[in-house]
Amino acid sequence: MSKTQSAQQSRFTAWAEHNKFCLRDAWSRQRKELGRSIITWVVIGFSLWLPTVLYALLVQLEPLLEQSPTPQLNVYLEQDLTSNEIDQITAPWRAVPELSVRIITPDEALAATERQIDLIGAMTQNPMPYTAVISGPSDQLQAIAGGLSQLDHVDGYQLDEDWIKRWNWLVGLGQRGILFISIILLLGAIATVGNTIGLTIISRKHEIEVMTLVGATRSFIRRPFLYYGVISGILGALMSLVLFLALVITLYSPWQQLLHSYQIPATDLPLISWVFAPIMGVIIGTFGALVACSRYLDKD
Amino acid sequence: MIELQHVYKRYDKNKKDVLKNVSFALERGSMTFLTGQSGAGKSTLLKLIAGLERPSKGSLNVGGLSVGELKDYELPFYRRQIGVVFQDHQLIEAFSIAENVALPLRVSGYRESDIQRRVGAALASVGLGDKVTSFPHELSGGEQQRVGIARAVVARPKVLIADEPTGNLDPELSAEIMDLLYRFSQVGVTVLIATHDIALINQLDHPILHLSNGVVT
Ligand SMILES: Nc1ncnc2c1ncn2[C@@H]1O[C@H](COP(=O)(O)OP(=O)(O)OP(=O)(O)O)[C@@H](O)[C@H]1O
Ligand SMILES: [Mg+2]
Repeated sequence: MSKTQSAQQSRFTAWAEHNKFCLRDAWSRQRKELGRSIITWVVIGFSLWLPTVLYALLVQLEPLLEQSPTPQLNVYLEQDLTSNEIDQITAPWRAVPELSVRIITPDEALAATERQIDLIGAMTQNPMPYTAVISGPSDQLQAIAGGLSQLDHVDGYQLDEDWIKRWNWLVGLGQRGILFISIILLLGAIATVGNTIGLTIISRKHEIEVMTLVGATRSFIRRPFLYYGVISGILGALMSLVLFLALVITLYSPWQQLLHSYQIPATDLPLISWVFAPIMGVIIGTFGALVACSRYLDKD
Repeated sequence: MIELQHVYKRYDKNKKDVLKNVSFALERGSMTFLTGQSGAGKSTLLKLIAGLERPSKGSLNVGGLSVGELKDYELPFYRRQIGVVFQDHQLIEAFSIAENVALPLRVSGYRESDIQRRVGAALASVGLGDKVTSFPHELSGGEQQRVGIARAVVARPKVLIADEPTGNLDPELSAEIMDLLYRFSQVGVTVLIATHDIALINQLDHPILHLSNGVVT
């Protein structure tokens, strides 16, 4: 039996032809099943819109995070040092451009403390040490703190970065929260697309059976549903972008004023704010269709 | 054209064989009837030849192709070379007559212009050239069955199998359908028809294969 027939096109042309056919079919189906399709777009659109907005918010507030004070390392030095000796000890730290070093004398330290606790005023001798306050990147401070025990004239130290850690945890929590919400919404959107396409598959069960009987391949049968999924994803992404753009335009000037009043510099939205929705939309559509096909088509 | 040697078919591992040691050969361009009681295995045998089921044992050769040994992904391509007519015609209600007949060609990736031409010719050959834009529910049972035949032959298969093609039709229409199928065998198509319409078979002079409990007698 001959495997090729003259009226049949090359595999590639046939494939291209069918893709065109499926694209048209999927498009007309979006309109024919408008109610079901709109629900899908809205679900996809919202699932893309919320993470986009939250992320944009995070980006806008980023300068605020950078304004936070840098961590401090307090190095307590022996009491009876000359200023020469202090200079010698602190010289290596002063040499690092990212670090700044400030010396607090025992008198200054006592004065600062006395204001808080009168009790100490009764003491005859000033118990306060010289303190070198080093501020800079936390990893460098940690390195210095680690080497302090080998230095002479150092009594002890205190690495004061707890609240900064806490601040960073808070920021991390925010980022993870957004990630978590995004993933939940994404899965929900995939499930919705899968369900919509699943319903379509059920309603076209007979058509699919007949196509199989006359020799349709697996990919031939799946293709229209994949197209439907991808088109739904793109339309949903479009919806998300339009809503986001509307939000940006409406809130732009009051938002700028608000940032300004807090002395936060304005930040442009990054590219990701605009490409997140289209890319994720296509991914949602594709996965939704694949889920539907594997659930409703492939079990024989 | 079609050759079966010691073919067995069993659907479930623990169940009994539906076909037992079936062997026969059909010449190219022949027309043969397959008879037997309900449950004898007629549909099963046709499904094997159509590539819709696989033999459990034995060799099934169609047009030089060892059908039982085809890989899963090769089966759709094999099915395109076999025309199948079903008792319940299996037309898609939402498709026009032309679209129904075009389906095997679309699935195989024919050019649009060829599809138009061949669908027109196939519908004309079953006498339904004027029903192109109708829908299945607008046709009589006999007409629907003829659309099913047009669809089965539109890709010019070398083998045409029909499972009870006249099951729902009155004797006159049945004879008409059989005559139609016979005309395809005359142009070289190997035709195999399952039916239990003994009266009809007896009117016609074609070889008969009789299945009884899965055994050819
Ligand atoms: N898909 C299947 N799974 C399991 N058993 C099946 C399947 N199809 C058919 N059978 C069994 O195989 C046997 C033969 O069935 P088949 O449909 O081939 O008979 P038939 O000769 O076409 O009968 P009828 O004249 O009623 O159409 C029956 O016992 C049936 O129950
Ligand atoms: Mg049967």
